[in-house]
Amino acid sequence: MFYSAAFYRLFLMAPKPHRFPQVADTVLQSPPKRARTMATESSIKDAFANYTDYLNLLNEKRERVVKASRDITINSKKVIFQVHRISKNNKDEVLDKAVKDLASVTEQHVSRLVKELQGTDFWKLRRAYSPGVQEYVEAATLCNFCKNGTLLILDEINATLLPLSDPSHQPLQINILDYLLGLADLTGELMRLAIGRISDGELEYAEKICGFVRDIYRELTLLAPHMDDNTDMKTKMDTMLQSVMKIENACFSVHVRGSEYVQLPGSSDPSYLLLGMPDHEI
Amino acid sequence: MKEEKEVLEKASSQIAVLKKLYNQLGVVLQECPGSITVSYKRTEILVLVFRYHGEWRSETQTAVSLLTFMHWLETGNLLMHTEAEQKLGLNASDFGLDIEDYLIGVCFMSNELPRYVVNQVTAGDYDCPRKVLKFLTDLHAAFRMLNLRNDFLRKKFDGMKYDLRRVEEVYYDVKIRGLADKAEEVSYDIKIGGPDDHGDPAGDEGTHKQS
Repeated sequence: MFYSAAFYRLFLMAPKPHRFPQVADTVLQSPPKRARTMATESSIKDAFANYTDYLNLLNEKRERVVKASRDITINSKKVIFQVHRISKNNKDEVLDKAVKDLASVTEQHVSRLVKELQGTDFWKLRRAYSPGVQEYVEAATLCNFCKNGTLLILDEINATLLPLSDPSHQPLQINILDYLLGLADLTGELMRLAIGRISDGELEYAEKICGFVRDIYRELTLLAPHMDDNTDMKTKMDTMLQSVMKIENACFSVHVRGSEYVQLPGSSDPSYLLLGMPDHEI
Repeated sequence: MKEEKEVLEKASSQIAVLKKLYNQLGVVLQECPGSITVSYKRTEILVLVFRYHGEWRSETQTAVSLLTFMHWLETGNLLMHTEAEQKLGLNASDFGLDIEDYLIGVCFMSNELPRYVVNQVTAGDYDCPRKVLKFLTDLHAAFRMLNLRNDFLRKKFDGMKYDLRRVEEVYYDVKIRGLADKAEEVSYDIKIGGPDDHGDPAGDEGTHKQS
């Protein structure tokens, strides 16, 4: 619960170190008491023994969170790469596998965060898990867009996380900052997807992605200045604009050269629209 | 000596101002809407204390460094975490003093000691180096008990040994020139975690010398 406060208080009351989970449970049941004042005659060493234990537990927990975050990152990236394997003919199988893989990321790795991020640790350790959560949001929103064509909103993604926690634990909920940062990364992946789809001849799909990314960019431009400590977001917004422009330019190229596109009969080869020269003079 | 008292009193009066300001900060946080749904009964302020902690982190560290320095000047002892917390009107159950902020503040205080000792000697207080050296040695030994990551706290702690070295040099300079008053000269002993370690500031009781 009140990790640092409760833990330190418990040390003043009982010299023997407790494992963290027991501390949290104890605190949840007992009402908060004022910390007993340490007598000024107490040795500096005793006080620092307490500080040592506090820092040890905090840092060990932080390490566990970082490890979970890294695993979430790697496996979410695999989901994203799976989605990129979409082509005209295999959409459903590819997406089904991606959704399944995402579910296993949720069950196996995101679940590790539930226990660790109880109470105030949720914000205190944000730097430790934020990259993982952002990647996870990126993967989840990408899957959702490809399946349903819509944006997976924060409440929806948090609803999928509710089953991870049992009632005694506060449910793990992604905070709005990590969600928005993950959304910004999503636009980069969508740009790659759009370019890929164009090469496959799916202009309509690419245009749909273009509109979607443009909407996200527009809305985030208004939100970004209001975010806490938004230096990360500012860089992402710059990259996002580049992505939007890349998609727009690609759609433009296809649109302008559309009349030059001649599909070889019976062939499912990509048309190399962006590279090829017209077969005949206009 | 009288001047020192006046200076300390004047500085002390600012502590009340600080306390009021932290209280105001607490009120502001209480009025903020929380950003995650709180379905468990607990003070929402705590969530915000940690969410926005970065906003007042360095200021708190500075405040702690000044409070610990003042406390040492007044009593010769190290201000403990809970004592510092109380002085600022913070309390562990909701808006508390972060332990890492406290420890970093103590390191900042140690940075001030070499300068203090140099100026005290210039002003004629030749016993000061001995007292500061004992205190800083004990403090450094205590910090060595901590397991630190390679973060800001670690960096500040690494700086402490240079402060300690400079104070040692001042102590040495004063001692070899026989400037320290013979009557007040006592053997320089430090206790390292022994059973009779009562935090004696004057260092008059000792069990073993520092090697």
